[in-house]
Amino acid sequence: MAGKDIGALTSLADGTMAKNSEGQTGLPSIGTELVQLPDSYEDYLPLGCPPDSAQKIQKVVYRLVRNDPPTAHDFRTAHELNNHKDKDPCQRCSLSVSGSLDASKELRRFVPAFKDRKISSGVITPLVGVIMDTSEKVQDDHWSWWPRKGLPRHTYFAVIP
Amino acid sequence: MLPPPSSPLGPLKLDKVFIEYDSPQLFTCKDATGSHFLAVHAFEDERSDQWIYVRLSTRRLRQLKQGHLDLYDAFRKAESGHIDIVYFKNGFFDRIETTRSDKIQNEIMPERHTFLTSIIKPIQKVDSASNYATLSNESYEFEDLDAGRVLAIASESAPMWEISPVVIDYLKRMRTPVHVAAERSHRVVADIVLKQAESAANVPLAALGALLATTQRLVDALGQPPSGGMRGPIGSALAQWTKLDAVAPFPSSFGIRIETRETSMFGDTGGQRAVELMVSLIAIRDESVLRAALENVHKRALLHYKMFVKAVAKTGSDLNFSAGVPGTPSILEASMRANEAEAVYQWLDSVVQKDDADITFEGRLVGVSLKSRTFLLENEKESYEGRIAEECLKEVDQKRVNMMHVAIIGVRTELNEATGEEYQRYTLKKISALDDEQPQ
Repeated sequence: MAGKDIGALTSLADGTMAKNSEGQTGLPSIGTELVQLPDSYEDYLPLGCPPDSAQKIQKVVYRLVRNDPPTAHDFRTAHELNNHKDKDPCQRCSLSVSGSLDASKELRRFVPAFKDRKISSGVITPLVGVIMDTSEKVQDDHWSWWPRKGLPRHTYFAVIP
Repeated sequence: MLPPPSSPLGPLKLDKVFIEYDSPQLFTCKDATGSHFLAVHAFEDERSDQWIYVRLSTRRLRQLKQGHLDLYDAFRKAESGHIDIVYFKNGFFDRIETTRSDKIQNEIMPERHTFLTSIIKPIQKVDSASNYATLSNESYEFEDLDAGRVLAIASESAPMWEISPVVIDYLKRMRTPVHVAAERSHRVVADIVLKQAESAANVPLAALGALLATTQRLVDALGQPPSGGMRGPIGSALAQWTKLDAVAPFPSSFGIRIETRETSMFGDTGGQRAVELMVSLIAIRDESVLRAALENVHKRALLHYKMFVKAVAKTGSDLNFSAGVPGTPSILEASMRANEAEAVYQWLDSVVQKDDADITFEGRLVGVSLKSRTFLLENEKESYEGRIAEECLKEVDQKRVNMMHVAIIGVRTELNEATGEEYQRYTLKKISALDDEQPQ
């Protein structure tokens, strides 16, 4: 299953845009050696997290960032920022991403604090973590991403001009 | 981000998250009393965050959820006229600033035409359910209602206009304080609240009408300069500044909000002074203090105050009168119990039994009736008719009709209780033929 996803990722790489923090154009190349990695997430995730319903799929997603190119600071979870402690513990260890460009644009219209944020895009694959459609309870096309342990998350995203 | 429970907003509990992005960005929360707030992440930089909180009625929240109200207006046109900006520094609560909603910078506002219905899953249409809910003794969040519950509520028997105590309690909390309303509208705003004694549940309609009518007349009279004359009605130029409008009834024992029709944007125009005097008068119980106070207002006000307290007494309720005037950041408030109103009325009635003044009048004695003890005197300019004083009966009996006379006439201004209109009552006290010696 994992090997199949990686193959798909490679074929999608040219669909990404602009540059990342490494100064590269498009998505960084992910070596096939990662294919065999076991499911491994940050140690601070609570038991049962990510939830079983989180999917190992490949999906183009969008995230609002402050920096161009995106930096590690743009990809810190609430847990890592040590805030929103009253939030669901598992959800607090995820990153919010949108499933469409339009959904990201809408966020900037609705949330004044996001007006100046830039929209970056990236591809989530099983190599970078699992995602779950969490738009049932909040806004449409909201996805939660639990990144794999030690992943330089920001390098998988690039700002859309 | 919620402020800590110790903040001026008190303990808040997250209610419904509309936009989540790593954390709630747009959501509703409730305070300890169940009042809703809408909050949005308004600003952020590396070290600080700002959140806007606005209080929402259930009706407005429903409008928001159903797409009848956009986020921009929800904040810009806050029902209370005010929003709270909650500041955080380095992730820690810093302070809260309350500001007028129409003064918020656009930079920290959601854009126009941002409707919740365009970003969240369609909400089940249960308009009728929310309407039914107001007839029940419970309050419901309409999204909590399923079809079965809707039918159950709908089948509850309740008079059409009965208002749930829960709704009344909620609406009481939503009432904008008079001084805030005054500041916003640039008008004098006052609340008249009648609190019934335990034995009475309602205010007699006639008594309520009389109370409102006498309130207007008293304010009109108090708006006059103290030195003004008594003859003739209050000038329309003066009266326009004291004209009051009922704005809305509100849930209470019984309450109605009134405000001056004219704004006082350029300083007091009479209405403000009149309402301030009215509050002062209501607060006074001591006769000597009340006498002194009434000497400093127009004489007409004494009569109208008498009718006002009589109207209060007739309601059988305790009165609470609170007023806000533009530019004054506090509430003027006074109250009077029904039995106190009766006592004040009795005292005022004894005071107004005396004539205001005696006038000397030269004119033709047109008619006299000793049987009905009435007289009519007139000249080219004026005529006076009224009762003949007991001590003057013999004198009048000796006078010739159609001859010129000099008379001393007592004048007393009274009020028609039904209409509130003033009229003068004349009493003939002394009369002499013009060729006779002048009356003493």
